[in-house]
Amino acid sequence: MRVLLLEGITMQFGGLTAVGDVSLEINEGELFGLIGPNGAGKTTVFNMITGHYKPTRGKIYFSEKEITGLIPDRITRMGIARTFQNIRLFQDLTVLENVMVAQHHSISSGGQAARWFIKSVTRIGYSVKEREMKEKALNLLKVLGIEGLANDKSGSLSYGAQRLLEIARAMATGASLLLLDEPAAGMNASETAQLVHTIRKIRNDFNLTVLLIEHDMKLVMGLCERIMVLDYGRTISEGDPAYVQKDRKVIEAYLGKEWVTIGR
Amino acid sequence: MDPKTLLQNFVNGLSLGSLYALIAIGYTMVYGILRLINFAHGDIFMMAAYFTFFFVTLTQLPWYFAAIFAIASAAVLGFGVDRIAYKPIRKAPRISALITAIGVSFFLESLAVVIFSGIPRSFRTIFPQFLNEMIILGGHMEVKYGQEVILGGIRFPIISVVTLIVTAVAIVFLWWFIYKTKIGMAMRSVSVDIPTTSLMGVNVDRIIGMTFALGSALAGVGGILWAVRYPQVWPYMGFIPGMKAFVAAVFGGIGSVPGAVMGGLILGITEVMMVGLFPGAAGYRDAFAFFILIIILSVKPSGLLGKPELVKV
Amino acid sequence: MTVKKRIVFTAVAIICLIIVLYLSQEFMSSYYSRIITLIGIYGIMAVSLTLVNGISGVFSLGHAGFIAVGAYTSALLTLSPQQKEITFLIEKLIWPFNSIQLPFFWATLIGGVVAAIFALAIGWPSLRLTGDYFAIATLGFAEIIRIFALNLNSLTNGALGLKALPDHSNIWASWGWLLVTVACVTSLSYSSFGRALRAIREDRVAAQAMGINVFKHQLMAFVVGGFFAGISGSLYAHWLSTIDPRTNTIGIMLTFNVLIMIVLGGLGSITGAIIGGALFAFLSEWLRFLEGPMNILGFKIMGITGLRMLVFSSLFVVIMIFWPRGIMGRREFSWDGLASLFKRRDRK
Repeated sequence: MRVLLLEGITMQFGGLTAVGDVSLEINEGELFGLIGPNGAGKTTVFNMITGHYKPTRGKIYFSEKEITGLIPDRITRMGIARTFQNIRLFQDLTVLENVMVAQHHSISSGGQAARWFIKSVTRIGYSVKEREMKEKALNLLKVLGIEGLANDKSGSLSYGAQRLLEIARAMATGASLLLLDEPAAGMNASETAQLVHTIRKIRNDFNLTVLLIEHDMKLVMGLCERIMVLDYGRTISEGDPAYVQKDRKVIEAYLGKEWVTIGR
Repeated sequence: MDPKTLLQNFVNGLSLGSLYALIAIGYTMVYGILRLINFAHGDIFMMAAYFTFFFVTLTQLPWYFAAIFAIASAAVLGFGVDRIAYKPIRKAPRISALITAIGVSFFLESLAVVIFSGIPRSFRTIFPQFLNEMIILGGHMEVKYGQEVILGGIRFPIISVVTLIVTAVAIVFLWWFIYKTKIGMAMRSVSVDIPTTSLMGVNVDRIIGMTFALGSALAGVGGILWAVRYPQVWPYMGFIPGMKAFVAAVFGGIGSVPGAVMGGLILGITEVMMVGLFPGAAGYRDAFAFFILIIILSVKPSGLLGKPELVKV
Repeated sequence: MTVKKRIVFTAVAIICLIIVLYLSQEFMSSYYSRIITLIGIYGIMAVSLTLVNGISGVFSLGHAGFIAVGAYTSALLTLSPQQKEITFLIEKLIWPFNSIQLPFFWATLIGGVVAAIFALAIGWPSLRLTGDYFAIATLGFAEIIRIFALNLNSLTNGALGLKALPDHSNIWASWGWLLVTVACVTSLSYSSFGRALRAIREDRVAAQAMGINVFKHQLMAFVVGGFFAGISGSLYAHWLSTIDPRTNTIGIMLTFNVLIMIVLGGLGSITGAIIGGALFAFLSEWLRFLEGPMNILGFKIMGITGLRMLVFSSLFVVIMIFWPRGIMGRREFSWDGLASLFKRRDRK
């Protein structure tokens, strides 16, 4: 079943085209990689999917419903959550609180907000919910292997742990599609290997679909089932890892034309 | 409104607006560089008026010496405020800087209360009397109820015209300073990118200080003209004009000097016209600027000539 | 420490507080009990502004506006119809205020509700703005409220203000409402909603990405803050027994005073806000000597008006520059914290 569909999305900043006419289809349960050199427009694609930017042209569908131009929190509540390339945790909150915040929309969206608001202020019938949220959060932290840090301030965590917490937080929103923006950046080789294992595991255990941006080629080639390559905001290649790896245009984009000629 | 009253209101509005513009320039220049609303700006405007008043009463020297002294003191004061209060917290969150600015504003106001006392003082004898006399164009004299009354014609105070001229000169000077001098070039550069400018060997703190001084000098000019127009000085006189000038700066697009001038003029003219059209609403004239502010901020927060800020994700 | 123990401690502390308040009501001079009442009122003002400015990450400069709305609303309800007949000289007071009189409690509650409605109406357009723009917009609205108060003769008695309000604000009213305020704001800020507000304060974009409707949450905090500001306004008006629509009573000056309290106590801490409020009330009474005649080294000098404000504003700027976290920072008083403080002492 098709989960995400991008139809010719384009993003222009002033006269500059950051992303031009990108189309994409992701099916349920897929692990999809979005790669490309620096400045290729990968994060801009994420920002358009999650509603942080409104595409200049093109349409975005999630589970066959159009979500183009909706506000970010609405899109998250519909079931798309993300992590950030330049880690954006709630620094002054603990690790546990970071994950619990992501569940907050379950009591604050729609018509139930007023009821829960009164329950929170009067403390009548509230503690059950709080305990439920805490348990779910601890469980997610366990899945990612950082439950031991639950009561630390998230700002004090190591880089690798912060990236894992970002994933836990995104999962806590209850999303079915995860967008991971360079989840392995700043991790060492063994941490990266562990991450590959974790991503696969959460995909299987939680029935998620994962779209990820990554620079670590080993991770992408080993983990993703399908890959799309962007260069200067345009799609230059798409297919399984083996196909993309051999695509001349991809090698050109990454290493320059000369290299291709020399290599041949 | 008949055409004559319209013209009369237009001249008065233009002159009021040019005062707003003079103050707004200082707001917009500082905001352009530091992204800080310098709350204390309106109080520098007030201080300049007080400096003039006391210089004249204490030294008995002519008013033009007092004016030069007051404008220079305003510049020094602006520079000093930046050095003492804002420089130590350059790296702090924007909101801390704003809170500090509010504190500085109240500090200057209460300082004025302590030094100059809270009682308004008349500014009438400080500057030559003729400034507050009326210019009357056209119309004819008639004797009504035993008194000479001028009917018809356009009438506005001489100070309105003087204000317009002084503002025009000040803006030309500012333009020359920003676009034709090295310091001006450095200012423009700092407002685009502070780290890069400092890598070019420019002493950024000095340039920021100069910006404060220049903006404060213009506020000083505005303060003196204001005190002549509404001939009194008092410690809280800077609050409302300061806020309105800020509205003007936002209206024109904060960070843009031509925008500040345009915003000031438009605000001044519409304010005077509104009072002219609905005399019953005169009590609400100070609320009017805030209404405009809220409308602009909700419709086009970047103002007439400003560029929208892109939130980076 | 177990939850049960904490509840017991808190209950004991509240009972002690009630006893202390009772004793001070009975045995202290009316001057001191007036100051203790004022501390409670300032506490409500500071805690309600902390919810907005300290916890939810927007910066409002419109607090005085809501205090004014609460003050006017409740004053119009507690004054007797005969009194209002005498007071409203410029224009007659409009119906229904000219013919009703309510008990203080209900008048205060209605004052809070009306202030909350104002907060909703003001927050709705302003909260589309962020940072300093929001600050300026709320300041603008507060000024608009004040200017209307100055001009709506048939509702507010215009520039003459309201006088001879019954002195209903005693220790019990002010500290009782303070307790309610602290209980509500604390339970709100330590619930999932409070967590969401703090998340928004830390990173607005990330909070949105977590499915939190930033606008809705900030509006909620703003309305709750406005409600309690209205409550404090009612108490304040009945403490002063007058309402004066000039700048220095319900204008920006009042917002500035509340701002001093929360900056002093630590922006973002509820207990800090109460400490800040108490310190401000205490200092402004204690510093009164500055404005009276003084005798320095045998020289008699006249009092200087405005010196207190100068001290406060200098203090304010100095705190912002050298000690921007205030007394409490974002920390809160807790029994565990107190216990660990004593344990550390013991070890030494």
